[in-house]
Formats: sequence, C-alpha cells, structure tokens
Amino acid sequence: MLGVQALGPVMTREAAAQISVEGVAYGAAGGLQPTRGVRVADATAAANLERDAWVVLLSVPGIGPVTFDTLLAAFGSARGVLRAASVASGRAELEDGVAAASGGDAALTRGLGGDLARRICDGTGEGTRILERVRALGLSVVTLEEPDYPERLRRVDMPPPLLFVRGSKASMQSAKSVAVVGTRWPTDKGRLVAGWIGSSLGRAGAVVVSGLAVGIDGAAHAAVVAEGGRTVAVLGGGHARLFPRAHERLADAIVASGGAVVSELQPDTAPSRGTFPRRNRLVSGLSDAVVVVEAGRRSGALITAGWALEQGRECFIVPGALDSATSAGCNAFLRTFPGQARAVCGIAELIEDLELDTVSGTEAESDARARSGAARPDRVGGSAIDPSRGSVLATLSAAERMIAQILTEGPATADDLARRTSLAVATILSALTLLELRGLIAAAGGRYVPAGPLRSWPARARGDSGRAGTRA
Amino acid sequence: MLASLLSATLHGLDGRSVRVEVDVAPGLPGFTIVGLADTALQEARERVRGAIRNSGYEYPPRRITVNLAPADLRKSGASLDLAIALGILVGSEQVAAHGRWAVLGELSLGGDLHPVPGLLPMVAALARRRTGRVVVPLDGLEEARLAGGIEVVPAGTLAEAAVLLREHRRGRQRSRPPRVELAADVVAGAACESGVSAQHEDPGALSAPDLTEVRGQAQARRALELALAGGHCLVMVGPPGSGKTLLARTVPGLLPPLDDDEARLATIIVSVSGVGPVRSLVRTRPFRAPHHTTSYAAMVGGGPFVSPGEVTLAHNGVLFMDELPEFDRATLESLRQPLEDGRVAISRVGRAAVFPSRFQLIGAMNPCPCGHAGEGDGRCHCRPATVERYSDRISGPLRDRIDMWVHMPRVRPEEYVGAATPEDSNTVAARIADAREVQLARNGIPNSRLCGRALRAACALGSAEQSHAIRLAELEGWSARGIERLLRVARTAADLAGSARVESTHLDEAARYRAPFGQVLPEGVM
Repeated sequence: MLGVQALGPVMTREAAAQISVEGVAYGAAGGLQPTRGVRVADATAAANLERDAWVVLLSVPGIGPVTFDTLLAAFGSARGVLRAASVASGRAELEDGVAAASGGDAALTRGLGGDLARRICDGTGEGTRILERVRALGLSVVTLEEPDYPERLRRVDMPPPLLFVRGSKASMQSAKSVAVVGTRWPTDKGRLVAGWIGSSLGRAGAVVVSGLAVGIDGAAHAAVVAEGGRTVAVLGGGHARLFPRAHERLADAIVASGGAVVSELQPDTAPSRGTFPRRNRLVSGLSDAVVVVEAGRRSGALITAGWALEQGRECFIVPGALDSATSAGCNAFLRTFPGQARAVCGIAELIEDLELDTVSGTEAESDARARSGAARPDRVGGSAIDPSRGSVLATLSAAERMIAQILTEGPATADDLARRTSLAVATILSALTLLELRGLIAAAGGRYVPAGPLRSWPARARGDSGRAGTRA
Repeated sequence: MLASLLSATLHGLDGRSVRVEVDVAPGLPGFTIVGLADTALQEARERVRGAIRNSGYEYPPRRITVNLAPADLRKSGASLDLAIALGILVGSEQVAAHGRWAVLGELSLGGDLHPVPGLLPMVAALARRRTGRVVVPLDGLEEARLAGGIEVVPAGTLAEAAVLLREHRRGRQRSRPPRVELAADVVAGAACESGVSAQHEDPGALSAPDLTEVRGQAQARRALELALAGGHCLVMVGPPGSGKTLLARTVPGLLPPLDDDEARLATIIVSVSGVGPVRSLVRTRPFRAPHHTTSYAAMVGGGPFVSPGEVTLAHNGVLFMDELPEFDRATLESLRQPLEDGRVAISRVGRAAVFPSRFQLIGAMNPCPCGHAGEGDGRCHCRPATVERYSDRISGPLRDRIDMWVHMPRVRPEEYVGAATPEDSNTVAARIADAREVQLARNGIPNSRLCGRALRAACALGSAEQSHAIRLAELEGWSARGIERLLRVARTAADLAGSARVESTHLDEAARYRAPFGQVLPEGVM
C-alpha cells in the first residue's frame, strides 16, 4: 500500500511504486519501513516524498513550527524524522536526536520529551490515511522549503510550514497582492465599497486576498470573480470543513476563475475560536497591503490590520461616519496608528497609493479579460467583454435607466425606488425584472443590488462619452 | 309510559335528526341513557333532573330509560337536553304532547333554555325531515329562522316549552314546506320566512383599519391588492415593525362580501363554531388570525367532537398567519391538503368528517430570527445558516403553494410624516371587486385556482410573450410550478389593469413576487 504518489504532479500508481523503493513505504501495519541503500532515482520524486513526510509529521498533534524546526535540525529532513521514528528503538532515537539538536535548551528538550516521541511514532502510522485524505480532496501541498511557497509569506515571522491549496498555487505569487477584509455584518454601503475595491483591484491585475467570511470578505471575493480577476481565499479551518458553508459556491467560483483557496490547517481541522486569528495572520502575510472596509470595534478585520503593521505591510482603512457602529473600529484604528495606517479616500486614489497603475500593465489586464471571456462565453467578442457602464445604460428604457442609476449608488428596495422615481410600483417591478434578466441587478432579500457592469467602480468610464449621463 | 320526541345532533357541519324515546317504567329509581351518547350527553342526566325539579315539576322516582335513535350515530353535545326532559315529563304523564314536534336546546339546572352550537344546521336537518315545528331556545331564534322550511317556536325555559307542547296546533299550515337543502335553500327560506334581510351586514367589518393607516410600503400594498384580487396566497417578509400585521388587518375592509351560496355556508360554519347564536346571515368574508401557538387540531379541525378548525372557519376568506415560521411544523404541513383540495378530511375513531376549507393564506414572517436580515445596516448578526434554517421551517411543498412573496422594508421616517395620504380601502376594494368579477366571468374560479390547460387558455400568450415567459422561467428555477405561479399572478395583474391579454409587463411584475429563498447573501448572487 502506497501513500506517496499523490501529491505533486500527476503520477500513476506504477510510477509511484517505482520511486517509492528508495523512499518511505507505509506498511499495511502502519509502520514506516525504511528501505536503505537504494539511490535516488528522481529529484522530483524525492521532493514529493519529503513533502509527504512534512504533511505526516505536521499532522502529529503537538508539533508546531518551533518543534518542527527543531526536529528538522536534528534529523536533517522530515523523512529522517519519520525514519528514526519507525525503527524499533524509535522513541529513544528521537529523544537523543532532539536533545542533541536543541543544544541543551532545557525547555525545548522537556517539551519534546518522551510523550512527543511516542506521539510521532503513533502519528506516522496514520500517514497513509492523511495523504489519501489530502489527495481525495484534490488539494496540493506547498512546503516552506519549496520554491512554490509564497515569497511574501516566507518573510513573516514563523511562517506556516505547510499550505494546503485548492486551485492555482501561482496566484499566491503574483506581482501585487492586496487583502480586502472587513466585518461579517456590513452595511449595504460597505458591501458596495468592498465590491468596488475588489473589482478595481481585479481589473488592475492585483490578486485580492481575503478570508472567505460572509460580509465584506465575500463581497470582495465575489466582485473579483465577477471581474474575471484572481482572488485567494484563506480558510479559518481545514478544507474539508469549509466555513461558512454558505460560501461553498463562491469557493468553487474562486478556484474556477484561477484563484486559490488556502489553509495552513490539516484538512479535517474544525474552525474554532483559535483558528481565525491564525487565518488573519495568513491573510496579511500573503498580501502586500491590507484594506479594511468596515470593521466594528471588536472586528477580526482589525486583527488582520494589526498583523499587517507587524509584518511590515501597508495598511489602508476606509474611514466611516462618526456615528457608524460598523466603522467604529476603522476610525479607532486610524486614530491609534497615525502615520502607519492610511485612510482610503477614493477608489482611484487607493489604486494609485498601491502603485497599481504601474503594475497593471496591459499584460495582467488582458490576461484577466481573457479569463473572464473564457468563463462567460456570452461575453466574448469586442467591447462586450467589459462594457462600460455608459454604453450599457444607453440601451435601457427610460424607466430602467432611472432605476439602474439609483442602484449604482447602492442597494435599494422597490419602495425606495418608488419614492425616488415616482413611477408606479407595477412599472418599477416590471423594470426590475428586465434588469435582472440582463444581469444588471440581482435580488437579495427585499433589496436590489447592482450586478455586472453596474457593480464595479466606473473608473474606466472616465472620459467615456456616456459617463456624463450616467452620473447625472 | 313511553314518550317519543324528535331532536337533532351535530355531525361535522351537518345536523342529524335524532329520535329521543323515553320510557318511564316502574322499578328501582334510575336513569340510563343508551345510544352512543358522549360524556356531555351522559351529564344531561344531572341537568335534566335539576331542570325538572326547579321548573315546578316532579322528577319521577321511577326507572327512566332514554334511547337515542338511530343507535349507530354518535351523539354529542347538550342539544338533546330539552328533548330528554320533555320526554320524562310526557312519560310520567305530567305533560301531554300533541302533534309532530321537535325540540332543541340545552338546559340549565334552573330550567332555563340555552342555545347550542350548530343550531342552524340542526334546524335545517329537521326541516329536511318535514318536521312541522321546532322549539328552540329564545336566544337562538334568529339563527334557527335562517334555516326556513319549518315553523320555529321560541321558548325561554323548560316550563314554557312544556306549555307549548301541550297546546294544540292552531291553524296548521297546509302548504307544503319547501324542501330545504342545507346550504342551498337556507337563504331563500330565511328571506321569505323570517324576514331576515340577506343584505344585513355584520358589524364586525367595521373594526378593520383603513389602508390610509398604512404608510409607505408601496410594493406590499400593490402585492396585497394583487393577492386579494386573484385569491393568491401571499407571504410578507420583513423586520419587526414594518407594518406586516397592520397591512394584513386591513384585509377585511378590502374583500368583497360573500355571495349568497358562500354566505349560507359561512353562516353554518359560524353557527357550528359555537361563538354564540348567529343574529343574521354572515356576509363578510371571514378573516381568521390564529396565534402561532395554535395546535394542529385547532388548525385543521378535530378534537373530541370533530369540530371545524381555523382552516374551515376561514373558508372563502383569509387565514392570516402572523410569524409563520413560529408555527409548529405539523401545523404548517397540515395546511397542504386544504390549500390543495379546498377541503379537509378528518377521521377519528368512530367519526369522520369533511370540512370545506378553501381559504386564502396570508402569512407574515421575519427574514431571520433577529428580524433584521436584509436591512443592509449591519444590524443582523444571524449566521447565513441560521437565516436559511429559519426560512426552511416553511417546507418546500408549502412554499410551492404560495404564489406571492413580498418583502416589506422598514418604513423610513419621511414616509410617516411627509408623504401624501395613500389610497383608502374603498378605492382599492373597488378595483379588487372588479378584477374578481372578471375572473369569475371568464373561468368561474379565481385565478389562484387556475392550473394546467385552463391557465394556459386564460393567459393566451402571444409568441413574443411566450419567449419572454421562457426567459423569466429561468428566474423561477425552471420548475413547472414556478411557471404556473408566474402565469397565475400575471393573469391577475392583467385583470387588475383591465387587459384581456397577458402582456410582458404583467409577466415581469409577476416574476418579482417569486419565493425569495436562497438569496440571503448578496455576495452569493453572482
């Protein structure tokens, strides 16, 4: 029974069997059988084996980055640790090795005492199951040792040794990566702003990182996906315990549009009170800058912003009104960290501050457009790929245009529209349906929210002939 | 001596005539009632004994046997009290009886006669058997006279009834009393016999608030108008304080009065429900608003006497269910059969009844447990899963039977103070009545009951509208039920607009009233 074949490049069972002769074969009984004396046939295969060993070793309860480093220093590689653990005198060997490596650091030695050695010996028995699980979930693994590991994250203090990735590993290595985070209970305006920022960043070729939570995070992810851009979602739990469940479809869409869903936790880890701060550290660690859209006084988004400052990343805060409970945390953060956190005072300005106009070379943008075209065949061809708001509005009837214009300013109910347009309710409802059919608005509860070209910040419409009419 | 009198008991919404035979025989004093009598009837022994003694008669110290025929019919309630008491008086030769009498009523220990629930159908049942005269409690006189086809004589006490019984019938009407079919001729009979005007209005309608009281909520007002015009089931979703309940309370003032057939049945239902004697024909459409703790049996009917439930009391009217998801799951699911068939069949051991229950359901609910989801102000902290679970309390099959959903946002302050006075109930009620008339003239039923071929024929879409409807079907999730829902509501919108054909704009409007579920998260809509 083999547990080594799955993780990196696609490999057949036979190929895996061939390369496994050198490495570690997980016996049916669960123990590791070292097969010494055979030469390494293939560097890739060796890398795969080492990666598997990392997964197995890090799945042992009680092994965190520090312990892991110590073990690695003592035995040279994760495979070395597993090999040592698998022999009959495994425990003794592990203890000796650790004692030697820690250089007399009493605390560490004690921490790594007999109990941990026993757990490693037990845990390696689970190896096959864990690797099978990772493979069944379609996850790829990146270790700190590999070149695929995101450079930005490598630079933070104690980077997570392992990342479980669904989707594109390359999306974490993009030239520019910006986190957009905020409260799980945003106002309509906040949701809209998050969407504007997300889609503008996506259009500018930046990768948007966020936490896949409901509210601001989800709005930002969704806007990027709608724009055809790439976005990275960092989970607060394992991949098999995707949270929130309501965002399962969004996660699929993120992967389908060339982004990634990432977790540093073992696939079956349940999200809990303790895992979300870790998630936040990863969100800022994967980003060049963090933008907080709305955050109440005790919002987790502020933790992300705090991490960003600690990790030396830029930090942008969208300020809110004085009496806004959902922006109280944002405003307080700006006050607490003058000179470190910057206020966002416009989408175009944010793009400028992030120096994205230079990054957003034609390459990144056309790339994004091609992807968006591929994802939506109905939009391929000519200007239809990214129709400016003005040209879309020009095709609407008078009533529809009136309604669409109001909705670009933010979600509204049918009653709001009736009050502001003085049209008959029946007329408004008919027009809303037509707009919905065209994909320009979406119904959410009793409110209507702009969608498609109406949703994004109309930065590109600058100088557009239709623009004067749209912003009347 | 053996005495025999006619009386009646209630079976579902129907009266059944019962022959009460009383044998007062020598032997050890005793009192036995045979013939499937329920507990209330067994207790009649005590009431009858007291009533006889306190009315100045002698309770015979002999062996009394009461037989209720037919023996296989389960008898319940106190409607036979008077017949048993008079039977004893006749059997003990204290009172002589002449002619073919029927007597109905409950006795108090003091000998007073009280009306019983279901007096109207019971009197009607006796009329069907060509019984010449019936003695009823004085309080129930008006109700009993609604039945027609029978001479109704009131009595206030047992003694009065005994006097009546002793009298010879004077000037007996030779004319054949009209044959009375329950719920068919009641009104005609009532109009000519008792002089009760069929136009007489129930004063209950006056208490409904006027639509001018409802501020803002333009969409919900429109939805309510459409729903009432077409008889569509409507659910209003909105935060607490958005005016859902107030809007629903305006419904009685918006509904057209019952027509003759409906009024007869409604009167019988009110009579059976036992809220007290009916004074006149019920003309206002019922509006029932059961509390959300209402039990399953109270909702569909049942209980020891298989009495009608809320769905039956709302027959031909509106059943308003506030806080819809807070109702018991079983109670909610029990609405499916009546919503589908317009009747509810109830079986209990030894009894079965079918009650009419063609009601229009109007529901109100919060979007989530805290009530603020979808307000867009960050107030709602309910998790998406919680919100979903809350709306999932209304199961798919029940959801399918609801044609219209409407969201009611919180009303903005400027709408309370600044806005012009909205339309009043009379204006809207007139439009609703017109639209209803159009529907009845076209199909004989309201649009909400159209389906299949009749629905397609009534809608008669042009080719452009057809292709448009197909595009709209995508929004409905492509389900056949969704498309039928769309067409029905569009038909009503067209009727309200006075349009013979269903135009695309009507379809577009109808599409807005689809079920909102699965759209709790704006960012999930992609």
